[in-house]
Amino acid sequence: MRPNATDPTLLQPGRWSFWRDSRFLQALAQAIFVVLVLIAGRWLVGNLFTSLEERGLDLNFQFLQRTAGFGIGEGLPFERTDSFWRAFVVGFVNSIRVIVFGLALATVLGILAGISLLSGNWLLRNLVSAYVEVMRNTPLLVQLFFIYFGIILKLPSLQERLIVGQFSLSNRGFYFPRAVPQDGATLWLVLAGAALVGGIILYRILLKKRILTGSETWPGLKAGLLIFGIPLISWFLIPGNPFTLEYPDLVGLRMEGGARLTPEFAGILIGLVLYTGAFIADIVRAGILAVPKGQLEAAKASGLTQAQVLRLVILPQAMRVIIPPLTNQYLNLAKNSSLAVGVGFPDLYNISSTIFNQSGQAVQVISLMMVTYLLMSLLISAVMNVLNERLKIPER
Amino acid sequence: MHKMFKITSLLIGFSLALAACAPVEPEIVTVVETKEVTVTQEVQVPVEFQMESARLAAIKSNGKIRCGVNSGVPGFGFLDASGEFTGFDTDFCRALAVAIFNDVSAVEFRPLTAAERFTALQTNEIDVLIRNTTWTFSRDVELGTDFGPTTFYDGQGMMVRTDSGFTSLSDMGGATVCVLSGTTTELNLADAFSARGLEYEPLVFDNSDETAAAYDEGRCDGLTSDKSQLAGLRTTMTNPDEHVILPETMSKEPLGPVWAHGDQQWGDIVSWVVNGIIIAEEKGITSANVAEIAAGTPEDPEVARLLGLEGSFGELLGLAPDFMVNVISAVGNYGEIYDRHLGPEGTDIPREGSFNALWKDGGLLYPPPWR
Amino acid sequence: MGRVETSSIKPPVTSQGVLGWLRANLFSNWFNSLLTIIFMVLIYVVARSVLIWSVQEANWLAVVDNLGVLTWGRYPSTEVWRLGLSLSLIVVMGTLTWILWYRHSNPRIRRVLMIGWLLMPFVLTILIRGIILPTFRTIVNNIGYYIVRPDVLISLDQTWRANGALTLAGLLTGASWVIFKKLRSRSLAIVGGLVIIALMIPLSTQSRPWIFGITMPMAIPFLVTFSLSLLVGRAVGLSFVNVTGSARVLAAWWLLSIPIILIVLTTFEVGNEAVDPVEALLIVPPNIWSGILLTLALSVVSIVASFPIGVLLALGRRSSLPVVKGFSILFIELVRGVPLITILFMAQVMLPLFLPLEVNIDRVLRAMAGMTLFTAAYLAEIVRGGLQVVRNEQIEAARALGLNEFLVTSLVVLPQALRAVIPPIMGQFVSIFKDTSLVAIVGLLDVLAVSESVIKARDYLGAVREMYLFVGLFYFVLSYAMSQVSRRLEVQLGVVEKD
Repeated sequence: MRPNATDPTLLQPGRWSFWRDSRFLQALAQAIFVVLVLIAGRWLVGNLFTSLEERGLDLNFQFLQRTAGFGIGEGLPFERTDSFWRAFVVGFVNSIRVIVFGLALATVLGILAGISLLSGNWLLRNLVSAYVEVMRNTPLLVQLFFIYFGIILKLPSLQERLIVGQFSLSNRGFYFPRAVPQDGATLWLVLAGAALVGGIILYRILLKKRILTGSETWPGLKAGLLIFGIPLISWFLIPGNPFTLEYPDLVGLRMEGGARLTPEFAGILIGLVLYTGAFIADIVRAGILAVPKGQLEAAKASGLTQAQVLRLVILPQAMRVIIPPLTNQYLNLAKNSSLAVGVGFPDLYNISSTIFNQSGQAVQVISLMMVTYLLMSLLISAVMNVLNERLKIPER
Repeated sequence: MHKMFKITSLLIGFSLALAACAPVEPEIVTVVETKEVTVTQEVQVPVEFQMESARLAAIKSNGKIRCGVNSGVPGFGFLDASGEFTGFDTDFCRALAVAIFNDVSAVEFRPLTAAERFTALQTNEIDVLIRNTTWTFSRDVELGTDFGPTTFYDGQGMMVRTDSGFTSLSDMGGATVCVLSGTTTELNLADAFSARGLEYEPLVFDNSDETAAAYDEGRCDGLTSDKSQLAGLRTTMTNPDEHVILPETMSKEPLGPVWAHGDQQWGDIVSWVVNGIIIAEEKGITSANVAEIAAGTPEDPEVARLLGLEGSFGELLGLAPDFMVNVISAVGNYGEIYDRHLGPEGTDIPREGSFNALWKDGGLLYPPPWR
Repeated sequence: MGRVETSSIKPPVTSQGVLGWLRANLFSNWFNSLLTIIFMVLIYVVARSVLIWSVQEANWLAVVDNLGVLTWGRYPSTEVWRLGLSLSLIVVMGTLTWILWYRHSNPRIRRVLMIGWLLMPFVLTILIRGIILPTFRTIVNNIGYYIVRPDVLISLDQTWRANGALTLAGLLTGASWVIFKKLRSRSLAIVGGLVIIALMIPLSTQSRPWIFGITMPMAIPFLVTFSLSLLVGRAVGLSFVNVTGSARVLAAWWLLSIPIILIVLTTFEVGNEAVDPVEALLIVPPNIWSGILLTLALSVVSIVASFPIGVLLALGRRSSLPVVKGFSILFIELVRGVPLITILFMAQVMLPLFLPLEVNIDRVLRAMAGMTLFTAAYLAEIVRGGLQVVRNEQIEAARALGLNEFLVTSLVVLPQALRAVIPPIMGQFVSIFKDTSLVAIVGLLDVLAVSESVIKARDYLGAVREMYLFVGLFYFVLSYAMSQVSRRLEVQLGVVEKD
């Protein structure tokens, strides 16, 4: 109970016993809490050591050096004789691939769908809202199974694949030509990179000048010329093409050459993008609605086109409302990428579970996997926090 | 409020009074005595007198045997439309239930994934694991488990499409192979291909349903698993005739029941129920004629011993003397179990000429004598 | 009341019939017309092939024939009526609440309904899981063990029952000490506590290995249990000390505690059929729950159980005690940073390593625990958002009225905070309901896993799409219903949605 501060007798020091002092009581409660946690921890760890001993296991990470002995379908090159650690890295990189592509595509889809939810076109609006409702109200895993087993694997076989030019689609994946770097590739890439950086700098300088002086300086046009012009010219100037195309071709049972999108990668990517896109669409819709109507009317009154209103007035303001919930969706996407195991894509979770099965080292494998996911989540939150800070309305 | 308290105190007083009377109630005395008998038995067992297994006692007090099984392999263990587990492996679980309780339904089936099964055994979640588990050195020695007599001699095989033109593993360079995660299969596959100097692309799933579905849809060129399971999986393909199992065997896979290390008496029960079922086939005892044979006086002394007409084999295991009669009449002999699930009506794995024929017919089933 | 005035003057009709509507909504400019045409073609192509497939090719029998297995899975077929009864119980209670709650907002009716809903989890658990009840003979016989043969209890490993009974008795006695004012009621309560203690005296003299394998007389853990629960009971009682009716509620609890204590103390088997407790309802352990039953059980349990934990974590995170605060933050952030599937995986393969060999937690219960902790962390963050909404004046005013911290939190802060965050909480519940499908990956037979398993039978081979569509529809209907309920609540409570 709180001491009654208005009672003058209580204000005199030494009038109440120490066990009635709330500071003492708080310290005591915390000490008891710590002791309880320690006892529970001691008990759990004690059991752990007994169980480990019983099973001839230990807690060190030496086993990661052992030969894995299994194969991995896609990702970085991996041999049967490589170590468990290498397998873990392959899984990690595969997860990162899914997450990065997923984030980019889900954002694009989400923004488009979010704008469509407010479209004046009745058909579009209702179609998109049906899509959003279906995606939001069914489990991602069911969607993944349906997309992978019900759609992708029902595509024609490799022998009867759908061919358009050098592109082909079958239940073995989507094959397309691959650019193979030649001798001049490095030089060309360096030039193109320099042109890109130069173009961005030029754009900024010209834009600032236009804002300051009010005279038209054509920033977009000039920067565009620089960015696209130099790579184009150097393509022809560098002897031999910097890149040649390699076309996929059916050799015996499988396609050789070219680049490939595997059904598993496509399955998890499409699933994640459609699912997260629906959530992002709702966030974008709410964000746009949060922009005061006066802003829209004022923008229209100043003669901006519909697209300009959206790009220059609505979206920048909506972004501030959108970013925090968007961060949550990005985190969800990263975490949901672990469902790749359902469609057989060798991601971090899938490979960790295989490593656990083959090595039996539950504690280490699970801790390593969870820490990795935790770090990924922290990284995404950190990046989004920085973005959020930059988009804040500057305090004047 | 006061009234409530009066009632309360009255009730408490009443129950206390009853409790105080309890010692004169005969039940306690009898129960306590039985308890004591068990204790003294454990201390002063004569060497030839079999003491009762602690696990068996636990199972008896549970009223059920907890059996770890597979839920997705037709022929060995899967969930049928009525929600019951059926299969070759699950019938051995039922046989154990009959041996102990003379009740086919006294089994609690625990469907386990390949990854969880040994943990389940080690953590005492199940009494016995009968889930097409391969007997290997490291499992027997390192994992703290013991293996019983082999119920099925298996080997890893490869299923391919008939129209793929593959006739052996050596043709399969560059093929995509569907495989289940967490099994020795995954490792044997890598070994087999690297021994032949071939490349391959594994596609790994956590669940056998999904593995088979991906193969059936043509995502993989081959599906690898134990041959027995392949035979079962073949029947679940959209068109079974379009698939063939290659002759090569990538590994030896003796499958049998597994229990946690430490209770040898329990192990004996599991082993001898399995052995008895095999001996029954050897001696021509079936579920149809077992009652008749047990009622008469069989000429073959081993039959008499098996059916509990001679000797005290059941008592030695802590079971009823005629437990094998119950087992055989409830689940049948080895041949009957085999035919029911793996024969032509089931997943159709040819038995004749295979390792799983009786030793008399050139197979590997050679049970130790019942004496 | 401006709304009434404006509605009386209707705006002029702008659209002109069907054509006008079409023009305004579908063909307002060239871009919209293009979109409309593209989407119409798309809809036609998709709808046509879906229709052809579902009428000509799809094998809907795979779903229809297996509805039973999909619903109750491996639940014994003779006991399925219990599931039906549970469902009807929920439906009846739901309808009653629906009808009575707002129309007759009589506090007495509301209280009865509330008590009904609070009892629901226990009733449903007993109905679905089954129950073992002691007979009169069992009670007499087994109580006798505490008095004359405590050593038998040790050998049967049933001594935890004594702790259970002592905890309940301690809590009630502690609360009675501060709530009951009259000497007679107080002494009766103390007698009640003393009776339980007296019952445990013979057992207290026995010794057995306790925590960390140290052998000690059982009196020590008993004393610790009883005095701790006495203190807790006193603390809880203090919070209700001047609340009207608290004495009556406490007296009811005392009455209720008698059967509970008797059941706790005596439902163990001694291997003598004449006196052993009887299975009043066949026990169907959670391990064999499967299909929709498992999906619903997992979601309901994790929703119900995660709520109090989430609220506690949220309060803990705002606590002024650094240790509690740190613990809450650590827990919340760790759990929120990892995928649910890794937590389920951990619960299935790592948790058993942390428990003694002889302790076995049902696999389904482990999954429930994992999902509960996961949801609790997310709920905690939502509730924390709600706590921030509660204005400081509210808390100060409540304190000024003389409420203690517990009452300030439970009567002033939480109701306001929770009301503000009902929509996101419902969203979280929808999300956890959908997430139960992940248990299929760790090998539990939920509706998704059962649907995969039943299409292995010869007649239903290859009915993959049909099954996934059915499962998808099942989830959709329930999730959609939940989100609609949430929207209604939102409107009724006048809460603005915060996305």
